[in-house]
Amino acid sequence: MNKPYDVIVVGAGHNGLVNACYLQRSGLNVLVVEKNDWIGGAAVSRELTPGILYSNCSYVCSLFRPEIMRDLELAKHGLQIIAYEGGAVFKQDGDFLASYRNHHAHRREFARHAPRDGEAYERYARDVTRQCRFIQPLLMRTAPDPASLKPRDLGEMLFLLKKFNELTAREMADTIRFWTMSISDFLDEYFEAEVIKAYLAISGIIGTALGPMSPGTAYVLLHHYMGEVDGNVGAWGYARGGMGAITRALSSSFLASGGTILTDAQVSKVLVRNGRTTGVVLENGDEHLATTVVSNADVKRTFLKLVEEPELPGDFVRQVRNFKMRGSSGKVNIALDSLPEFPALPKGSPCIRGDMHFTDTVERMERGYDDWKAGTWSADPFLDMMIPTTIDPTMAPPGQHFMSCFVQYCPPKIRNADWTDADRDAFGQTVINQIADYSPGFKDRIIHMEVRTPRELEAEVGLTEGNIFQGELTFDQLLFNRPIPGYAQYRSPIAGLYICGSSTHPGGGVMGAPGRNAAIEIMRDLKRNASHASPAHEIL
Amino acid sequence: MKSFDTIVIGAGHNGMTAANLLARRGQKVLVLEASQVPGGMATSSELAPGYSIPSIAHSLNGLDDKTIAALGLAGAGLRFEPDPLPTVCLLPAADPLVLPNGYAAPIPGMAGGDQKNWQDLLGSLSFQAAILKQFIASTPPQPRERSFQLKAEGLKAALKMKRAGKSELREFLRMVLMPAADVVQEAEIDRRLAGLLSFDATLGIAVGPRSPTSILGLYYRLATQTGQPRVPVGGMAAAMNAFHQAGVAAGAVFRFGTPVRRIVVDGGKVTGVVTEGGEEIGAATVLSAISPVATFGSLVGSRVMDTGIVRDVRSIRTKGNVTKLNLALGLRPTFKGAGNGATRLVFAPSVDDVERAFNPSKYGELPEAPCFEAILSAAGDQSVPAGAAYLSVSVQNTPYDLRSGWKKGRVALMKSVMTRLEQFSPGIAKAVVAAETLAPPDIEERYHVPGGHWHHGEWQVDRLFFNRPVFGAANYRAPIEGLFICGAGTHPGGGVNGLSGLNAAREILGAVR
Ligand SMILES: Cc1cc2nc3c(=O)[nH]c(=O)nc-3n(C[C@H](O)[C@H](O)[C@H](O)COP(=O)(O)OP(=O)(O)OC[C@H]3O[C@@H](n4cnc5c(N)ncnc54)[C@H](O)[C@@H]3O)c2cc1C
Ligand SMILES: Cc1cc2nc3c(=O)[nH]c(=O)nc-3n(C[C@H](O)[C@H](O)[C@H](O)COP(=O)(O)OP(=O)(O)OC[C@H]3O[C@@H](n4cnc5c(N)ncnc54)[C@H](O)[C@@H]3O)c2cc1C
Repeated sequence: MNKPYDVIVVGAGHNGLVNACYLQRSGLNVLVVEKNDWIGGAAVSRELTPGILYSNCSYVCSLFRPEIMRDLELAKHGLQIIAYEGGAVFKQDGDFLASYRNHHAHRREFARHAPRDGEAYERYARDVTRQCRFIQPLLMRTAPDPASLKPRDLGEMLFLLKKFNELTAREMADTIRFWTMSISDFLDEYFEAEVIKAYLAISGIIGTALGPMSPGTAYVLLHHYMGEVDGNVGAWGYARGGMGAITRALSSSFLASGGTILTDAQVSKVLVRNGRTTGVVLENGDEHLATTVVSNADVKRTFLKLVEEPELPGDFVRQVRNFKMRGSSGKVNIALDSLPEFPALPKGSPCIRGDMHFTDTVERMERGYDDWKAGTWSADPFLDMMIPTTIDPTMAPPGQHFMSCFVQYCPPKIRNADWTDADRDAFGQTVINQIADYSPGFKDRIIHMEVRTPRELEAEVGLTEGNIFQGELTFDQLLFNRPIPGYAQYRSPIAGLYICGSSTHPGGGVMGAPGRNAAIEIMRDLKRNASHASPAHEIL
Repeated sequence: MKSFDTIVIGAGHNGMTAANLLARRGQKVLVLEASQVPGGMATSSELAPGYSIPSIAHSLNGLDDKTIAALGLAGAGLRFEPDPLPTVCLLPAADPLVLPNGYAAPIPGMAGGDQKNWQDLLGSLSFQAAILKQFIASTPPQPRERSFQLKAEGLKAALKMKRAGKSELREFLRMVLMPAADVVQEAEIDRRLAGLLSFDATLGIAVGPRSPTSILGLYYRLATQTGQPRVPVGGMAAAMNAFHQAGVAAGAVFRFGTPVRRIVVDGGKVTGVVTEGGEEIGAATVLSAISPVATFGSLVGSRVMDTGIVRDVRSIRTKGNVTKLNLALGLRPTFKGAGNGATRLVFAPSVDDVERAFNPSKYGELPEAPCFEAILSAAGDQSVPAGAAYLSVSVQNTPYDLRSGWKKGRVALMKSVMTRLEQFSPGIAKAVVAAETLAPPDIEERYHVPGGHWHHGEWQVDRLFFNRPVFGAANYRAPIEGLFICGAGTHPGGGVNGLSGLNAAREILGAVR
């Protein structure tokens, strides 16, 4: 029999680790059990070919909450975020749209494609930033249950109303519109140039099982725009050493405060007695006891696989089954023996150090989504492509490079049948071919490739159906609806069992907020002092 | 110069509704209509000698009995076919599914489990629709408004929720913006019914059943319909004549063939209108019951409005996507499942079929297998020659901006729908005496509705309530003193229900009081 812990966290994804850090620092004795022999979940960097480090899943950092970085002293534990330069959308006619960090350069480039779009960009940036400011404080708070009359829920509801009430009538009307529109319709209200709309629509579709013309995608934009690197709303950065650097820093912080991590330790069952959890059983039969268990796995995996069905109310199980987490994305990681060339870019252009795309119209994006709806990967996929080693020399030997390609759309099944290896290879080729169309000699530079479809994401990271956010970000699954109405406060029908992954409010992305918010709820239940968790900073 | 209390622009059913109510309250009302007949997009026309066929709308969706009474429509001759209108779902290679009274009655022959799932889903949808209904028959609450009425409506809705309990409230807040496809999938209803609901949710709106928020279209139907679309005796023209006659009886003056060219604004105030013929007519109040884009874009003009609202109006999405195919038939065709009464036929076999038909419309292309609803006239209908019939077809997902052009598109669409109909009623093509195809640009031209849109402008969440038609004009008041607006483009939206006319008349009466 193993010695009991106060808390067991199932899964060493970044949210599990954030959660564990806060709990350990409140004086609880915490054990983290991770099924893989590496940690990090979808925030991981692994060396699959000698000398070259991949960010296997997530690849850019913008959402990670600075409050958490400070609370958990992640800089001290080696985390460094480096801002990246710009990017480009390659057009089919040989031209390209560059993006620059410098606002004026960016605006000028927009104006090059459509004179009025430069000015429209000012209006757009102002409006979107305003939306970010409105939503940002909601991220670091537990969502209130609108059906509850408990003082705390009423208080939180009042907070929401108060936030909303700070807006002018016009802003309220715009906010409602923004939350419900498609990114395509939203952009049509500002811009003329197709390539500019295609570029800005990207943030509305990344990770979602929706096309840019689906209502609700304008809101998704916020999810990507909201992040801050040094307080800069909407800016993205690389974690030096790959996304795994974030979870490495978290684990180092956790271990330093006395926590324990077990890897290669897959939980097969959460133990429940008389409606209370008592610990977990591992795949190898080992039992670990604790009166509090926190699952970092997604809501379906947690309640449909790790908990015995009879322990849960039937209605709850039905709702968990109905939780939508259709995967829509794939990832192709490539090791290159030299830096690829893109003849469309001027020599020495900084754009190669940022995010690059080949989808120059919203229509092409939407057609890619139609393929997904029909049950196949997009024939003309959307790629979010980056070469982090142009900025971060720690990930590859000099001259060699790591290229990260995030790909949409890619379904969890191929016309209702499981993926085969042949399908996966064909999917990989589709991606390579698209890049090679714009980069002569590209294929000859490839040393190694890792192709991940939703099948691999599910098998390795445990993301059900390969959904990168542990659940779609649609209205019916946000705020007090995430993951299940009535269970949006990190608790479950089983006493002592909590959830803290991206399936919970405020959702996916390497943000850390779900793990932190869950820790605060747990500390509240266990009557622990939570003063080491600082409240959300408001940006001005 | 002649002068009236209120000039109503447009004798669509909404304009006539408002004119009627204003005249009843003692106002001197003049209605100016561009075309020669009343009814706008909801009338019939003679397609072939002896055939009076619904030109655009073919059923009254949501005209409720309270409105009929308030307008005195029964006294002016409005009658409905006595039998309920059955819906026949046409299914390829299978017998049709027949709903004898739309959503209102159980489905004969449907197994217990499926029947229960269907009834359960309708139960929760109707409950949720009833909450929204509270807000439909009145001016929408404006943000930051703290009026008594808003509080009263809010309280009523809250009470209703409270009585129903926590789980109903939670379920409402979860479902209200869902894709119709997910709702029907969760409810595990019969796949044919799932197809029907997907179609009903999306007809007239540029969304597919898998688009988030598409369930709202269904709420709207359930909130404005007393369960069922109704077909008036004598066709749509008879219904619109009743609106006209009731208006006249109430004291309103109608002039047809008199398009308005301009709304006259002087010193920020409305003083009257100028007709296309150059005549100026004075009134302190003008109610424009036409498309808001036409009102603000053409009749008022950007000079007298501030740039914010001009930009907002420009962003109203007006491109329609429903095409009408009207067929005059020499004899009444037989469709399996259809009886002798007027019948609604729907071709939307499954959710996927509706979604697949939606896809090409996003790119200005026609669907390969379009989904549609059709009204088959009753045997013995007086609006067609003895023994004959009409088939009035609304085809979904036929975009205004057809890339290949509507010249070819009209022919192609007619052909593909006829081929489909032929599958279910062999020989029907030979019975066609006359046919017309009214694509969105045709509707635009004939009925003076920019874009030819069912709702005059997209009916999606971002353009509902206080954002319909645009923020700052959502309480039926334009930002110009004395100018009011109503019609399908305003709250709550389109369909032949008269609600915006009712609400706007109430606002005008409140303002002049
Ligand atoms: C391809 C891809 C690209 C992405 N790109 C970005 C990006 O660029 N920027 C960004 O911000 N976000 C990105 N995301 C999203 C982001 O990575 C995720 O939302 C986030 O990492 C999820 O973190 P989590 O801690 O909630 O869960 P996870 O990372 O899913 O962690 C769950 C952990 O639980 C473990 N586990 C599961 N079951 C068990 C079990 N039975 N026993 C023990 N352990 C178990 C898993 O192995 C895993 O380690 C991307 C995601 C993917 C997949
Ligand atoms: C293809 C299609 C099928 C439909 N089917 C149905 C259905 O079956 N059931 C249903 O309930 N609804 C249906 N609808 C919707 C319904 O037809 C409309 O929402 C409704 O008719 C709108 O009524 P209205 O009074 O607001 O406007 P309209 O009917 O558009 O009336 C506006 C009037 O104003 C006049 N006008 C315009 N400009 C001027 C001017 N400058 N001066 C003077 N007069 C002017 C026009 O001539 C017109 O008569 C359908 C719509 C379409 C497009």
